[in-house]
Amino acid sequence: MKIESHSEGHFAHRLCGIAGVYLTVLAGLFLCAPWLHAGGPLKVAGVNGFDPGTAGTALTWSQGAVLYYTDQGDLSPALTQAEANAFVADAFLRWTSVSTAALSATRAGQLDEDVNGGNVIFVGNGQVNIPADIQPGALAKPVAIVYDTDGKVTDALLGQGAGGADMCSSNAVYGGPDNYTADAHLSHALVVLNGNCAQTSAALPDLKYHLIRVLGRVLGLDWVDLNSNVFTGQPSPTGDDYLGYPVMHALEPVCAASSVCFTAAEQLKMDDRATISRLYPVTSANLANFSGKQVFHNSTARIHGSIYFRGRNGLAAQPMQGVKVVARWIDPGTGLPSHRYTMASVSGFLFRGNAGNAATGFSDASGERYDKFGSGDPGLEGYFDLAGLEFPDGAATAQYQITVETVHPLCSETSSVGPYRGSQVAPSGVATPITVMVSRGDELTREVVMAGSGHFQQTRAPAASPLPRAFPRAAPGRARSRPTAKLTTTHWRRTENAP
Amino acid sequence: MSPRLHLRALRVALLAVGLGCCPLTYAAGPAPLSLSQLTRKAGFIFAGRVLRVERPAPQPDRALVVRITLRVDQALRGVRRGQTFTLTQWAGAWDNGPQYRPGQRLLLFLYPRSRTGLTSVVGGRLGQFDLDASGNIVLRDDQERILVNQQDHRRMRPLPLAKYRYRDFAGRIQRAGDE
Repeated sequence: MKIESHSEGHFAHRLCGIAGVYLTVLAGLFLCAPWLHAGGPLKVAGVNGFDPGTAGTALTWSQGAVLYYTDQGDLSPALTQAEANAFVADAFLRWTSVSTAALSATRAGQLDEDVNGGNVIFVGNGQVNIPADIQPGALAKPVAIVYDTDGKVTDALLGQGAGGADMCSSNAVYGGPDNYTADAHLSHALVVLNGNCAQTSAALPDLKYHLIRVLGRVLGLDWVDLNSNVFTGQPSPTGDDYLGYPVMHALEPVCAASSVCFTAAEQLKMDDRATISRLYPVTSANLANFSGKQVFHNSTARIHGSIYFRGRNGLAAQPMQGVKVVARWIDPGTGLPSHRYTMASVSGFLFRGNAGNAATGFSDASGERYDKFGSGDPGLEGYFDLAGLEFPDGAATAQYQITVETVHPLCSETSSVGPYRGSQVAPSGVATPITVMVSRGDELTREVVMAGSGHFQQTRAPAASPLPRAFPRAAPGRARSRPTAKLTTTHWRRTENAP
Repeated sequence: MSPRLHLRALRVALLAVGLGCCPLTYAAGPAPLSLSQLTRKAGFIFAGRVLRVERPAPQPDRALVVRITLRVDQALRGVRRGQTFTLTQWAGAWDNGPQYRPGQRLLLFLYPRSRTGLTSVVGGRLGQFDLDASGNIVLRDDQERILVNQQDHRRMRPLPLAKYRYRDFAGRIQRAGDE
């Protein structure tokens, strides 16, 4: 027994010793790894409800100047009012500090009250009273930030118990733009922070992550779909998948605390930086107002164009809307496409999604016209824009691989990406990935005709269907490009273009 | 030193790293919702069909709301079969959350109505399930991964494409409420 015990102890000692060496190596890898730190517009002016000539314009804050007003109350014991104000300012700073974005966010003052369960009240006959200066029409206070200290405001707005600490995975921060002007600008937004999700300092990183995402929406950014295997786990995500996972990804990683699920979750990625810069570009005309920043188009590269069905004559036919065009930097060290520096644009992002027809009507179930948002210009139906391509290694040139892929089917409804909300479509035909060499300031046009695509036949829009269209589950796996330097052929299934 | 020893040592190191990271992860933020939690939080659980959606005209000093009228086909909590249920939602929850269209068949987990009379889907889109034409529950990937564990898989005998028979899923919901 003694000998065995000694032997086991000796074995355990050796095992621990070797494990310690591995642990040191792993820790070293973890600490020394170079932790570096597409979307589109949330809303696009349509042909109905906006001034003539504005259709196809992404809705943004006028002059890139955002004025926000904060609640008079505290957020929580961990974040008093002043601390909460600093917390919000830091979250805004993540966006305004992008070096190519002409954007400012200024706390212009306080709301008129401490918004709480006492002033969000039922007044009878199905009517709910809320303070006047947080309503969509309160244009004098364009962005209202509510500190819901005890979750009672959230309870009142979303339902009893919605503001509890146990609902922080979905209700920590919510809100977004709720009013627009006829000249295609955002004019009001409301953001509610749930104090029950800010009770300890340990909870704050997660709250910050959610706040940065909601502020992205407030600034006019849509969700994006890139590196979705971080969410789905298939294929197993690599370090670069995590490092390139955009803050504005449609799918929040499922873990106990989003912001600490993986390193730098709350730091803007290339797609985030590019999207905010496309909406608010630093130009030579406004550069003087943003000292220290760089002209967007001079310091990055741009590839844009349209995706088309192939006509019977082999030439470009009808534009193809709703497919994801992805740019991935070719790492010169490996010669492989990087999932860290990647960007996406959904074709037809400026075009209306479902415009309706005589059979389905021209308004959605709530009475809002389908053509309120998105241009009706056929020239924009298959258009994509990959402006903001960076030069990660500081070189004068960079290579990017361009592929055409499916928007992940989970990116629908509340997590929709691009012009289709109800369900996504798969590209039709074959897209051959191309590799493009770019320099700073380059602007390249690429028209992509999907070889072997179905001959463009208009079919029903997804939203016109009484039930959500089932999406083939194999789509994401097929659509994912393989990490190879060689040009590969990606096969796409037959599908249809929604009107 | 044997390769097996190295392998075991590497496993120990990886485990140590994992254990070191996990408490940090789980201590810092909210846990994702489970089916039990979804069930506990809900004041209304039912399968039904959307009859109409209305957006009442804006009124001064009033929160914008959207009214969704549903017919209850299968009642699990807070409602009766055959009842017409009016879901009054804050417009912000409609704009940023699940939206419905007439004819759509759903299984919904809704918070109890607050004192304002408003409610919404528990857990955002997690608490909204689609039903197919046969009344089977169709789970999205995210719902399946978060809400349904392996034991459930065996017990509920999933149909192809992550579909579950209504009675199996309803049984699981009832058990989840007791957990």
